Formats: sequence, structure tokens, C-alpha cells
Amino acid sequence: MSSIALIGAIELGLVFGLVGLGVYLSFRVLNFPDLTVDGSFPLGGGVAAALIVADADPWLASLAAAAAGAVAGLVTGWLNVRLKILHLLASILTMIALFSINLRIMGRPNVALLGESTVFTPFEGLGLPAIWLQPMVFLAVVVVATLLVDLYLLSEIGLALRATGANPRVARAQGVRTDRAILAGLAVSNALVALAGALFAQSQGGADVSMGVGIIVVGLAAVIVGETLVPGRGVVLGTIASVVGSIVYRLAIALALNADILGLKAQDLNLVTAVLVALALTLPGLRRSRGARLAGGRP
Amino acid sequence: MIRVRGLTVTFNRGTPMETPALRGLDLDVPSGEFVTVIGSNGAGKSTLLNAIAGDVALDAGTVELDGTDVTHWPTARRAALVARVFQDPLSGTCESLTVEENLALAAARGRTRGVRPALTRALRQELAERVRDLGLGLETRLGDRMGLLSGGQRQAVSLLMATLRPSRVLLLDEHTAALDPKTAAYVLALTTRLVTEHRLTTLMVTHSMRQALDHGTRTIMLHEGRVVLDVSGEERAALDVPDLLRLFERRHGQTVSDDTLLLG
Repeated sequence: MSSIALIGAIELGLVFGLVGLGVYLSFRVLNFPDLTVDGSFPLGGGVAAALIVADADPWLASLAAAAAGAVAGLVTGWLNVRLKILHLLASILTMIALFSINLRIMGRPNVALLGESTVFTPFEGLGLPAIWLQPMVFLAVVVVATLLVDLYLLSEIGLALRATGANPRVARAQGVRTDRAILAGLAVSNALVALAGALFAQSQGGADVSMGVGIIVVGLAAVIVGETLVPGRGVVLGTIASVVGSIVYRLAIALALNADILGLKAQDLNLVTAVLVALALTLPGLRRSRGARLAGGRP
Repeated sequence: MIRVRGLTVTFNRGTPMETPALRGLDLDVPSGEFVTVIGSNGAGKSTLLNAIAGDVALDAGTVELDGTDVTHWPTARRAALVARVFQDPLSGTCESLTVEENLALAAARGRTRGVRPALTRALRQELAERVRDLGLGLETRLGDRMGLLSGGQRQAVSLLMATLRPSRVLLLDEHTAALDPKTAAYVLALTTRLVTEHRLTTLMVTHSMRQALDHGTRTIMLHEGRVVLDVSGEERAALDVPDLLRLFERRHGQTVSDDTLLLG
């Protein structure tokens, strides 16, 4: 694998690390299978691109994108806790609605950012090798985001959120307004995903309405690969694992696509993703049952 | 103080499965009284507790706690006044959180949660102190996930969670039913100690008549969603399990069919 492919994989791994964090919050912490992310990722990209094209500050545009993602999360949460729509279905409804909304925001299926100033522009010409520029910016954003999510989860409202996901009845008995916790958790989760979309659009030179397809699987892959690699259940480990998982997952994809023997091409990406996620899901179970057999227990 | 009037709860209303759980139940429990609640399966014991805690929708009736009408308060808001311990040790705590995280969750009951760290050094120390009081040696396992503890240990922690913050009312729903006799005895003794220490108005549902007479200061029996027996003071002190059964039969003209009530 060339060093360009390697750095490219790390760069993608970092930006999708934010998606991993978001999916960790909804799927793992809140126990809420939230497919809104397939819509909030292009929403973030679209909002940021539309604002940047209109000459807004790229960082402000990215923050606005995160805010838009938070609103998308709130809509899903509202459909679930107020209108009592099943969580999975509520998130699919928001996801579908966002497709139209994203077209409205961008005004057309894609917005190019070539020649526009992006979050990377201020760092150009600082002597940093061009190839490292974007990964470094992503790394900084991901580190800050992980720290903030950790602080959130370790706070009183964060503990209320985790209790809501772990056992809503006990949470309510301890005075936690579980409906508010769900709304807050989904807002933060989708804000992270939309921020990833905003940064991704700026690094790829544009936003596309279909850039969100399969994002939920990418996020889940990050979480699951992370859990496989970083055992342990603590909150801090969980968030770090999601980011690490995202990077490792991207490296694995890059390796698979670059290995000439396998003969895989870029269009096989989704197939490779599905196979990797399936492997990551089953490997821990296989390892456990083999361990049990060695210990004399039943498999 | 608990005052409930005309509590009516029906499950699966308007369907062929319609089951009345409470049928206009009235109950007054003065402050500091420890009431044990007995009754056969389906008598409405758990539903009564759920109605007081706010976990079940009422068809009719009012719930008053310490003079405040809480009938329309959601569960989380009532939590400032009501503490609960659930029957199943597996579902009475947050399994995937650590022991001290569960306790920290309970330490914030009744006040607004903020962005402060949930576990500070000071709180950790206070919690370790309280856990040491249990005498189970759990103070060295505060960082363990709740799921790693035994049933008895979890119920002890549940009780601690329920009494960590001042509350007016303590609701215990067969919280020793899933435990072995020795552990159950320990948890019951701990219950009595904590209830006395904090002078809590307590409702304890139990399946055992023996337990109902041996603990608390008053015993009520529910049948078909109403209170059919209410004994306290000297009358109660003189009662034994067979007397209780006879009383029930005389007042209700029906034999107790549930064997589980006779055991213990």
C-alpha cells in the first residue's frame, strides 16, 4: 500500500471517527438504533457547503452544520418519545425526510467547494506537508470531540443518559426524565455525525446529496471493530475505542482494496464493509466458544 | 404520609383481555408507618405500588404524598418524594454501570442534574462510607459493574440507593422474593434498620405472611383490587399466620386459594 493510500485511510478513519462517536452514543450508550445518521451526515455536508459557497466562515459553517444535525436528532427523538413511534422507524422517517431537506438546502444534488476557503485554508502555508494537513486538522477535531463527549458522559446529565440507556425504569425511579435524556443524546449524536459530514465535504471538495448512503454501517463498523480491539466497558475506553475502531476499519478497507491478489476494486467497498462488519461481529463469539472448549466447557 | 382515594386501574382496557387490577382502593398511611402488604397473585399489590410511584396510568382516583396531590406528576418528578426497590435484582439497578455509578445516579435523585462530574472524590468517599455500613465488603468493589454482583448484594445496593437521599415514601416490591433464605433475612434486617434510621413511610409487598407479621407496624391484605384486611397495634401483635388466614376467610367469606401465601 502506498503512503498516500495509508494517509488517506487514516484521514478517512479520523473523520468517520466522529461518526463512530455519534453511533456509539446512540447505539451503545442510549441503546437507541438510530438510522438518522444516514441523513444527518449529508445534512452536515450540505449545510456547510451551502454556507461556505455563500461566503460564510468555514468553521462557523461547520458549527452550523453540527447544529442542524442536532435538530435532526431532536426530530427523531421527538417522534419516538412524544409520538411513541418505534425508535428504528422514527429514525428512518427522519432519514427519508432529510433527503428532501438536503436537496432544498443545497438547491441541487451537489455543491462543489473547489476554490472556496475551507477549514483547512488557514493552515495552508504553515510549512506543514500538504498531505498531512487534513489528517492533522481532523485529528485535532476528533481529539477535542472525544474529550467533550467523555466529559459529557462523566457528568451528572451524562450519567442520567447512560442510566436511561441501561435501564429506563430504574432511571425514572431515580428521578431521571428519560424522554429528555433521549432527546439530548440523539441531538449530540447527530451533531457529531453532521460535523463529520461538514468536514468530509470540505476535504473532498464538495457535498453530494447521496454522500450519506451506508454511513450508519460505517459508524457501526467503527464501534464494533473498536469493541473487538479495545476490551473493557468504561465510558472513556468506549469513546476512544470507537475512534480507534474507525481508523482500523479504514486501514483494513484500504488494505483489502489495495491487495492486488484479491482483485478488489473501489466499487467493492460496500461488500468489503459488510464482510468486515460481519467478521467483527462474529469473531469475539468464536473466540469465546473456543476458549470455553479449551477449558473443558461446552462450546 | 400516603393518601390514596378511589384508585382504579384496568389493564388492557377495551379488549377481551381486560383485567381490573385496582377497584377503587382507599388507603391512608401516616408518616413513619411501616406497612406490609399481602395478597394473592393478581390482588393488585404491585399495581398499588406502581400507582403511587407513577408507573401506571390511573382510570380514576387520586394519590397524595405528604399533603401534595401528585396524581398528575410523572414518575421522575415523584422520585423526589418516592424511593423504590424492585423485585428482580437483575432489573432493579443499571447492570452495565458500576456500583458507584449506580449510587451516584441515586445521589442526585430529587435535585436538578447539571454538568458537574457525577462522581467527585468527596462523593466517592461518602459512598464508600455508606457501602461499608452494609457490612458486605463491597467498598472494595465500587468500580465493578453491577452485573458482577450477586442477587443479595444487588438488593442491598438497591436499598442503599433508595435511602441515599431523603425521601418521604419507600416502596418495596417483594424485594427479597428472588433471594435465598439467608440473604433474604439479611436484606430484611437491613430494610428494617434503614427504615427506622430514616423514619420512612414504607409500603412493603411480600408473598410471605410470616414476613408480613414479623416486620413493620401494620399489615394490610389486598384482594381483587381492594383492601380487605387492615391490622395494626395489639391486634396485629397477637396474630399468627393461621389467625390471619381465618380473619381473611371470615371477613371475605372465601378461602385463600393461593398456596404461596401459606408458606413461610
